[in-house]
Amino acid sequence: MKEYKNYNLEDFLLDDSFRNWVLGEDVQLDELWIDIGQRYPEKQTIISQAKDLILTWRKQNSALTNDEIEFQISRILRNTEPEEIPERSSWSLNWKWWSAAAAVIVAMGIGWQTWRGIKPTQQPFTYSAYVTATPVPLQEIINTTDKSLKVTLPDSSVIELTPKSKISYAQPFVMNKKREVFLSGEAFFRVTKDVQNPFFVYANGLLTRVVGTCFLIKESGENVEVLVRSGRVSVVPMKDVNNQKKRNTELLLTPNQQATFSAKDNLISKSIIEIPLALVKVDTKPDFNFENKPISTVFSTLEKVYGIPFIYDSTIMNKCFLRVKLNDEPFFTKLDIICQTIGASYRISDGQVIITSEGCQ
Amino acid sequence: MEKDTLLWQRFKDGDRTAFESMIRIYYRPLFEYGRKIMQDPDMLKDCIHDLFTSLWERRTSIGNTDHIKPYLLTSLRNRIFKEKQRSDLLVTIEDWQEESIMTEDTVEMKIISTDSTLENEHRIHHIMHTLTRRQQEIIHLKFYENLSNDEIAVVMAISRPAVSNLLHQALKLFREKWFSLLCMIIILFISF
Repeated sequence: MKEYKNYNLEDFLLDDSFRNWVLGEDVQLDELWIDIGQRYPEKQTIISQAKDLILTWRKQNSALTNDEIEFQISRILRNTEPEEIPERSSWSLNWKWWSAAAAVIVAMGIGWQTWRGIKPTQQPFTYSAYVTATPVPLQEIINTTDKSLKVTLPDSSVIELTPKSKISYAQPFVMNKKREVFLSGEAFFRVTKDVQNPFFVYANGLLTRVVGTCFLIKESGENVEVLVRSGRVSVVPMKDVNNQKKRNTELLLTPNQQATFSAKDNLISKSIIEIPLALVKVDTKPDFNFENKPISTVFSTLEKVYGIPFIYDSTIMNKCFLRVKLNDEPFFTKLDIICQTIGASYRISDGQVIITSEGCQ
Repeated sequence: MEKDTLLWQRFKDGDRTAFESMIRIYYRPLFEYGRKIMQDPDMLKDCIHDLFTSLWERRTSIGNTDHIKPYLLTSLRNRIFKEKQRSDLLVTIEDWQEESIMTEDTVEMKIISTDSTLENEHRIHHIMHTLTRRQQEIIHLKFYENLSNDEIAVVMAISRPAVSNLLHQALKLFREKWFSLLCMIIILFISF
């Protein structure tokens, strides 16, 4: 039998058999540990302290409810749903199901008719709806020229308005700890940093929220695109702004990422912008001269320079080395060259680069 | 573990129920672990979401495993650090200030100033928070997630000897802080 005379608190904690006994995972250990307790009465205090610690550490301590977990699970399942409808194994479904389905369709038809009847003719989140609904007087700027127009806002943020686009903002500009701009068309924003008063852009059903950053918004009636140049930007459909349950539709964008919002379906998707630019102006130029470098180094260099995450299986690819000299090629050209060299392929999903490879010899 | 191998294989074959039960089994352990290394619970939920969705997308190309939990914990850890690294480039100082952990003094003050009936459990949590992130992380992996030292070595990307070293250090420090706190409470109790 082991010597427990010199056991201190850590030794008990790290003793597998002791832990299993405390957690009640093995009834056969009862005898052993009760016996040890009796043989070393001076250890009683330490043993009970060790017990307390193990039981406390075993408890969950974050306030995550089961409802929340269920919600998150369904969110994951929804977002990984196969795109095509799975084939039915048999068509001979019970006729009751068919009649139920028919009833649902009829009900939906009736619902649709009623809904169409009530629906206001105007979309609730368009530019004109915003502007007429705002209780305070607005300053409106319309670019009637054929060049882009620079507008400096009262907070010294700068907006470059493309031709035929317009913005409106309230006077005074900062109200209720918010800076709000309504946009129709396309504009590049260079927002002055002000943590106390976040900056909001309303464009066709999409709310974009920032503190201080550079980004471009293109609004075209049906879609809204938000392209991020620097900083962090969050976007959320207007419909979900006041709905706590649906807060997960809010997307966080980082540089070189882009969100496309479809006003019709009220959906946002995330991807990478067409020509990602290097993020930080480092003193030394980023070194893309890969002289027999492991692929993980290559990916992490690109990740750092462009701020775009790479997802790949590092165990499969641990034998992949790259010997290639890259320069000022655009991001996706670099990616093409790298993937061709090591015989891998990539695709973009959810603003990330996903590398598929069968490994290297 | 055989059960793990089987579940993993079914998931790799595109079995949605296997995928769902995998999320159901591991969501809470992942979340509890993630909280040790990431402050923002919403961002953490996003990380776990992305972890599972990308796992599903890559299911045909990923390798086999018979230890799903350490595999998932490792992936989550990498993802969180990646996310942090990325936001490091962008994060403002204000954001970071929220992240700073409670300093020892304030915790002790809090414990002393509250009445002495403060439960043992609260004391344990308070002392936990005075340890470094890494020390908290390893205690969590060992005692909450119930991983073996070998599995912890994989998750934290350190060698096995380093695991037992760090674990010992963390527990020793914990013990010292705990005992001195208990003494202090006793002294306070007697002197009143």
